Amino acid sequence: MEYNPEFLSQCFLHTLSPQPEPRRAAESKLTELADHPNYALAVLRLVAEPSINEQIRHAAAVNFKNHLRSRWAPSPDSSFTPILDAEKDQIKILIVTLMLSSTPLVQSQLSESLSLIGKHDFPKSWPTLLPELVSNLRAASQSNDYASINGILGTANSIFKKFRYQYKTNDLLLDLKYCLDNFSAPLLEMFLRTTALIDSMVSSGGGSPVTLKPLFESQRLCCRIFFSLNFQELPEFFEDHMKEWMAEFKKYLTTGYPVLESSAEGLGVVDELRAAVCENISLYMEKNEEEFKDYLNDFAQAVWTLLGNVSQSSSRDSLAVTAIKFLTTVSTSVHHTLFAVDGVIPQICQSIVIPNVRLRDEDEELFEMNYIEFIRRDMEGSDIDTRRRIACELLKGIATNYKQQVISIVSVQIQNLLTSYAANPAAQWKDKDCAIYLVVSLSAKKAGGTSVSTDLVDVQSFFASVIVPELQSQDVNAFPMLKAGALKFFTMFRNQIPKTLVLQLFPYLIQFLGAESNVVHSYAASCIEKLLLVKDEGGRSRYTSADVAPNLLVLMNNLFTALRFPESEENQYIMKSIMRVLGVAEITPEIAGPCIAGLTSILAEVCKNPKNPIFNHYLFESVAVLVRRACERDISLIPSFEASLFPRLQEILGNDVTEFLPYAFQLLAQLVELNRPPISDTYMEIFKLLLSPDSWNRNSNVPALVRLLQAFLEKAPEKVTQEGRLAQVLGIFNRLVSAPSTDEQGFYVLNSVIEKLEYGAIAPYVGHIWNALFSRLQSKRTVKFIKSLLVFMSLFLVKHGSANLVDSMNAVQAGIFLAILEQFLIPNLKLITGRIEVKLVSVASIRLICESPSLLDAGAVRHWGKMLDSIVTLLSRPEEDRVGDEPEMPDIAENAGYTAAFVNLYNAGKKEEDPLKDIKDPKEFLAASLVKLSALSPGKFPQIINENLDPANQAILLQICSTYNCPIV
Amino acid sequence: MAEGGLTSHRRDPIKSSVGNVAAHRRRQNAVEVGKERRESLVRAKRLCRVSSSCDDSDVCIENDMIIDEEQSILEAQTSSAVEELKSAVSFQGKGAMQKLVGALREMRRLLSKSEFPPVEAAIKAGAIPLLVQCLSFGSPDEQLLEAAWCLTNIAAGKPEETKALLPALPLLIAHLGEKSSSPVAEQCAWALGNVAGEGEELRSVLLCQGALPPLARMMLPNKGSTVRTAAWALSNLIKGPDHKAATELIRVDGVVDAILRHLRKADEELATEVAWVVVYLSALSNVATSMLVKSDVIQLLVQRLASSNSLQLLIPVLRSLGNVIAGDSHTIVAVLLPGCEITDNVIEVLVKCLKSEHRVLKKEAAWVLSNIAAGSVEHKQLIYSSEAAPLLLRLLSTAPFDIRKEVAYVLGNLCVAPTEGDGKPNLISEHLVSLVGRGCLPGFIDLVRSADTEAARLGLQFMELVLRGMPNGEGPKLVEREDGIEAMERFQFHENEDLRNMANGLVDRYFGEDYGLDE
Repeated sequence: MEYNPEFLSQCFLHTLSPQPEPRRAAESKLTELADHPNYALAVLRLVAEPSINEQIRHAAAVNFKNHLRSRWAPSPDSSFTPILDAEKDQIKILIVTLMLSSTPLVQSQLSESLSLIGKHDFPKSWPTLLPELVSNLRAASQSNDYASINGILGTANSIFKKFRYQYKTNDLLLDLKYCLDNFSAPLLEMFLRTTALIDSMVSSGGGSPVTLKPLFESQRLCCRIFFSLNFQELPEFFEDHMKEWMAEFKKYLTTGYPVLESSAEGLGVVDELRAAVCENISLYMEKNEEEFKDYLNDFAQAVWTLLGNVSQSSSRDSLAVTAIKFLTTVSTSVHHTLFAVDGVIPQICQSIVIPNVRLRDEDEELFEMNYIEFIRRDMEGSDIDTRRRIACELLKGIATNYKQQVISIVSVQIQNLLTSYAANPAAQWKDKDCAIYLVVSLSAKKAGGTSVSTDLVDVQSFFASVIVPELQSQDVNAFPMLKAGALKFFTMFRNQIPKTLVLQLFPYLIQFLGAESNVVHSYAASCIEKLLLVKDEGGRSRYTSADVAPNLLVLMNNLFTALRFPESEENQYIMKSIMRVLGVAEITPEIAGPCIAGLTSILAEVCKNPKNPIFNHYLFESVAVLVRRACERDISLIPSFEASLFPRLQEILGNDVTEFLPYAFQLLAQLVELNRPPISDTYMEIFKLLLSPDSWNRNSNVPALVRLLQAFLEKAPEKVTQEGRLAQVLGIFNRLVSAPSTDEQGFYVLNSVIEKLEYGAIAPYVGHIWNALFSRLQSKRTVKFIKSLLVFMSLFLVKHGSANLVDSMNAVQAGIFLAILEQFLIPNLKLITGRIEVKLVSVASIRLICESPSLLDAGAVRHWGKMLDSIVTLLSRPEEDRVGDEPEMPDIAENAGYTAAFVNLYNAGKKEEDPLKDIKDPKEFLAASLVKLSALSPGKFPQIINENLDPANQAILLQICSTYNCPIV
Repeated sequence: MAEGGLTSHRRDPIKSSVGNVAAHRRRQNAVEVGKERRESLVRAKRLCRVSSSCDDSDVCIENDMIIDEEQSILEAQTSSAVEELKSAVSFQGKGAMQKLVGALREMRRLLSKSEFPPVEAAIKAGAIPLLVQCLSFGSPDEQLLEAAWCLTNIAAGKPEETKALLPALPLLIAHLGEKSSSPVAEQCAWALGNVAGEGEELRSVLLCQGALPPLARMMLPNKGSTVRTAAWALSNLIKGPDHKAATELIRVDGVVDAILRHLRKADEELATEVAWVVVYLSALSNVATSMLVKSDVIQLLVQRLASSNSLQLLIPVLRSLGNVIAGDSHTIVAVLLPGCEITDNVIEVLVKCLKSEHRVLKKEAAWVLSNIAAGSVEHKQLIYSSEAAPLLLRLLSTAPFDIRKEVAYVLGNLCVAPTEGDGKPNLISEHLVSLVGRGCLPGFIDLVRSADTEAARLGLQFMELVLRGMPNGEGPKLVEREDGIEAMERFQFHENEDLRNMANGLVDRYFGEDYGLDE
C-alpha cells in the first residue's frame, strides 16, 4: 500500500494537537493504518525527510518505536499483526544511517528502535549490523565526529547489555564471541584515540568544556561496553590488552580535569566516566581477581584517595556509590588483607563511612519535598544505590573478615556521636540521626522490615535511652528527621520491645499521626500497623482488640485526620494502618458509623480520578474488612452499609470507572452474601447488568464477576431460574469455558449452578452443558481442565445422583459415560489436590461404583476394578507423590490475561465450602460402602479386586477395611 | 521488601521449582570466549628452534652459536636468503642438490634463530611456493626435512602467516605416510600441528585433506619423539568445536590401545601429550568417551594423578578424568561404584588436587567432584564422609570466586537426592544439617550477592534447600541471621526473569508478611 507522506505528516501533526477531536481522529487513523504492510517503512521515511518539521518527525519517530515494540516480534497470543520480513529487511538496511544523520531528539528514538530490533534479531538475523556499526565508527573517528561516534557507541552499548544479565548458555556465548570478534579491537582503538585527544587538549591547556564533554561521554560509553563484554567471563582480547585498559582507567581516577570540573555539570560528566571505571574494576576484582591482582594496589589507593574528596562533597552521589562498592568488593575478596593494616579500618570509618552516612542537604530536601521517595529509600530497601546504604555495606563487607574490629570501632563512633549530640542537641541533632541510622542499617534484616539482631548496641537499653526520649517529646513537630529516625527504629525492632513498654508508648504514637511532616505521620501510621502484626511464639498475635480498645476512638480519629494533611490525601501508609486497625479492633457501632462515612467520602473523592493504586487497594480492603467484621458482630448494620455504599458503587458502575470495577463487584458479592433473602430489587438491577454479555468483555472483570454471580446463585437461586436467566448464566459459562485462560472461572459458575439449583431447573440445559464440555475436551485438553471436569462431575453426582449423571451424559451420545470414565476419570483421579476436592471426588467415585448400574453391570467389571484402584491411590498416597509437576504450568502463562489488572480483595474473599459436611472420613466411607455392596453378592468382589488392583493398593485396601472393621466378602 | 499483598499478587509466581540444576552433571561450555587456558595456550603453536632428532651434529653446533641479532638485519638476511633459494631451485647445473640444501639450511637457520622469527619477511619475499616445490616427491630426506622445518616455523607465526601454508598442506600430509623417514614425517607433523593450532577453519581444511589417519598411525609405536609430536599435533587437530574429528580418531585401529599403553607406561612428557588428546576426545565425542570408559582409562588417569607432581601433566589428566565422568553416565553408574577401590582412589586423588597450591587444579578437582556428587545417594555419602568435605567447606569461604563457585556446586549436590522428572529434589537432611552447621550458608549467600548469574542461581537454590529443609523451621531463621533476605531482595527488579522469580518467590513464601488477620 502506498502512503501519502503529506497525509501521514498531517496525521502526526494532529496527534500533537491540544484539541481532543482532531487528536483522537488522527490517532485512530494511524492505528488503522498500522495494520497495513509497509506502514513502519512509510513512517521511517517520513522521519528521514529533512523538509518536514522537526516536531512532526519526532512524533513519527516515537510512533515508529512503539509500532516496532508491539509488532516486530509479537507474542503468539498478541492480536497485533507482525511486520513482514521484507519490510523488516528494508528497515534494517535504512535505520543505522538514518539514526546517525538525525537530530538528537529523533536520534534517541531511532536508537531505541534499533535496540528493540536488536533484541530479537541481533546477531543471527542481522549479520550486517555490527560490521556496519564498526565501519561507521571508524569513519566517524577519522573525522572526530563525536556526535556520530557517541550515537554508534550508545547503540552498541544497548545491544550488548544482554550479556550483563542472561545465563551463560552456549547460544549466549556464541553471540558474545561474535560481538567480541568484531568489536573488541575497534573499541580499544576508539578508547585510546579519544584518550590521546583528551590528553593532548588538556596538556596544551586547550579544550573547552564544549569540546571535552562529548569526548568524556564517549569514554564513558566505551567503559559501559567494556562492562557488558567482560561480564560473562574475561575474553581473550581483553586479557591480552589489560594493561592498556587499566592504564587509562587509572588515569581517569587519579587525574583532575579543571576545565570541566570547575562547573557542576562538567564535574558530573567526568564523574560519570569515573563511576563507569569503578564498575569495571569492581567486576574484574570480583570475577577475575587473579588476572587483576597486579593492578589491585594501585586502584585501591586511587579509589581511596578519590573517595576522601568525594565523601566531603555533597553531590557526586553515583561516583561515591560505585567507588565504595569497589572497596566493598575488595573487602570480601581474598585480598581483604589490605584492610588488615593498622589504622585502616578506623580511617575508613572516619573518612569514608561517617561522612557518607551523615545527613546531607539533599536528604533534608527530599524529606521535605518528596516524602514518598524518602520513605522508599529510608524504609523499604530502595536505597541500594544511596551513599548512606552503600557506606554501611562497606562496613558489613569489612566485618566479614574483621568483625570484632568493626564492632568495637563503630560502637565507639556511635557513643561519640551521641555524646556530641548531648552536648548541644539543637546544633548537633544530625549526629544522633547518624547514630540511629548506623544501628538500624548494620543490623541483619528480616522480611517485612524488622531487624533481628545487632551486635553494636544493646537494643533495649538503646531504645530506652535514645529512642524513647524522642518518642515522648512534647512537640511532635520539632526535629522531624530525628522523630522519623526514632519511629523507624521502633518499627524495625518492634519484636524486641516488650509489650508493656509498647502499650505505654502507644498514645505517643497516636500523637505523631498529627505531626505536620508527612514522613513522621506516615512512619507513625506504619509503626502502628506493623505492631498489630507482631506474632508471639506459636503464631498468636501479640496485640489484640483489648490492647487497642482504650485508645481506639482517638486513634481512628487521628488516622482519618492525618489524611487531610497536604500531600497525604492519598497516603497509603495511613490507609493501610486504617485497614489493619479495623481488622483487629472491636467494631462497635460507634466505630463503624464514622468509619463507613469517612471511607465512603474518600471513595467518592478517588472515584473522580483514581491515582494511587496502592492507596485505593487498601481503601477497598478497609471497606471490606469493616463490613465483614461489623456484620459478623451485628448483622442488622447491613442496611446502613448498603445505604452508604450503594451510591458509590453505582457511580463506579455507571461511570465505568475501569480501575475500580473488579473491586466494586467483589464488594457487591460480599454484600449479597451477607444478605438474608429475599434479595432487594436494587441487587436484582445489578444482577441484570451482570448477565449482559457486555459486562464480560473485559478480562480484568471476569474473576470478580464470577464471584458476584456465584453469590447470586447462592443467595437467590429462585431468581436465577426465572425469566430465562439460567440460559444467560449458562451462556456466560459457555463463553468462559471455551478458552483455557478463563475455563476455571467457567467451572466456578457451573459448579454454583449445579450445587445451588434443583435438578428440575437444570435438566433442560444439561445436554448443552455436556456438549460444551465435550467439545472443549476435544479442542484443547489441559490437565487443569480435566481436573476441573472431574470435580464438576463429582459435584453433579453428590448433588443429583449417579443416575442423572450417567443418563444425561449418555443422552448426548450413547456409551460416552464409560468412555469418559476410562479415558479421563480413571487415569486422572490421582491428580486431584486439596482437602475438600479430594474428599468430594473420592466420595463421588465410591458412590459411583457402589450405586451405578452401569458399573455394576457384568460387562463393566474391569472398569469397576480400575476405578477402585484409582480411588485407593487417591486416598492413600500423599499429594506430592501422586502429582508430578504439571508440565503446562497453568497459573502463569494462562492467567496472565487478567492478573495484570485483577486484584483480589482479601477481606471480601469467599470462604470455601465443603459440599459434603456429613462425611468426615472418605476412607471410612469407602470401607462402609464396599462392605455393604459386597454383602449383596458375596464372593464377587474379592476376585475383581484381585484381578484389577495393583498389589500394593490391594494391601492398602485390605488395611483400610480392617481398620474400620468392614471385611469385603 | 515491597509492601504487603498488593505487589505480591502482581508478581509472577515462581516459575519452576528451585533447586534442580545443581543436581545435574555439568559439562563445560562448548564455546570458549576466554583465553584458552594458559597451560594449553603455550602449546597451540610451537616454534622449532632445535632439531627434534638432533642427530645432525652441525645443526646442534650452529644452535649454540645463535645470538639474537637486530630484527631488521635478520629480515634483510631473510629476504636475500629467499632470493638465494629461488636461484637454487631453478639451478640445474652440477652440485644443484648441495646448493639447494645449503640455501634451505640457511633459510631454516634464519627462521630458527630468534624467538621472533622473520616470518613476515620470508613470506613477502615469496618463500612459500619455493618451499612447496622443495617438498616434491622423490626429493632427498635432507631437503624435505629442511623445507618442512622452515614451514613449521612459518606456521608458528601470526594467523595470516599460518594461513599462508595452505598450498603446502597436501604435500606435508603426503609425507606423513609410512614411506617417509621418521625425521621427515615428524617434521611434517610438527608443521601440520602448528597449522591445526591456528583455528577451526584450518583444522577443517586439514581434516578434509585426510591429515588425521596418518597422524593417528604415527601415535601407535611405543616411544620416540615422533609419537610425542604426533600426539601433540592430533590434540590440536581434534580440538573441535566439531566433534567429528575426535570420533574419527578414536575409531582408527589401535588408537585406543596406544592411548592406554602410553598412559600406562610412557614418560611424563609423552603422557602429557597423550593426556591432551584424551581431554579433547572426552570433551567432544560421546563415542570416544564411551569407548574409553569401558577400558581401564580411569584407573590409568588416577594412577598418573597419584604419582605425578608435574603440573603440566596433572592438568590434562585431571580434566580428562572430569570429562569422562561428566560425559558418560556409565562412569558413575557402573565404574565408580561406591565401595570399589577405584572410587576411593578417585576421591583420594581429587583431594590431593584440592589441597594443591595451584588454582587450576583446585578448580578442576572441585568440578570433577561436583559431577560425582551429582550421582547416587551413596556417592554423596562417600564424598560427604571423605577428607574432601572439610576442604571444600574451607575453600567456600576463602578461595577466589571461580573456585568458590565450583565448590558450591559440590556442596549443593551433596544435599539433594537424585530426582526423577522435574520435581523438586529431595533433601538429604543429614548432609544439609551438618554442612549448614559447619558454616556453609554464608558462602552461598555470598554467591547470591555476586554479579555472576549462575553463581547467584546456585546460591538461591541452596537457600531454598535451607529454607525448606532445615528441621524445626530453623531455615528461615538461619537465612535471616546471615542477612540472606537482604541478599534476595537485590533481585526484586533484576533483569534476569528467572532469578527475579526465584528470589521473589522465596521471600514471599518464607518471609511473606501476613496479609490478612486470622483471629
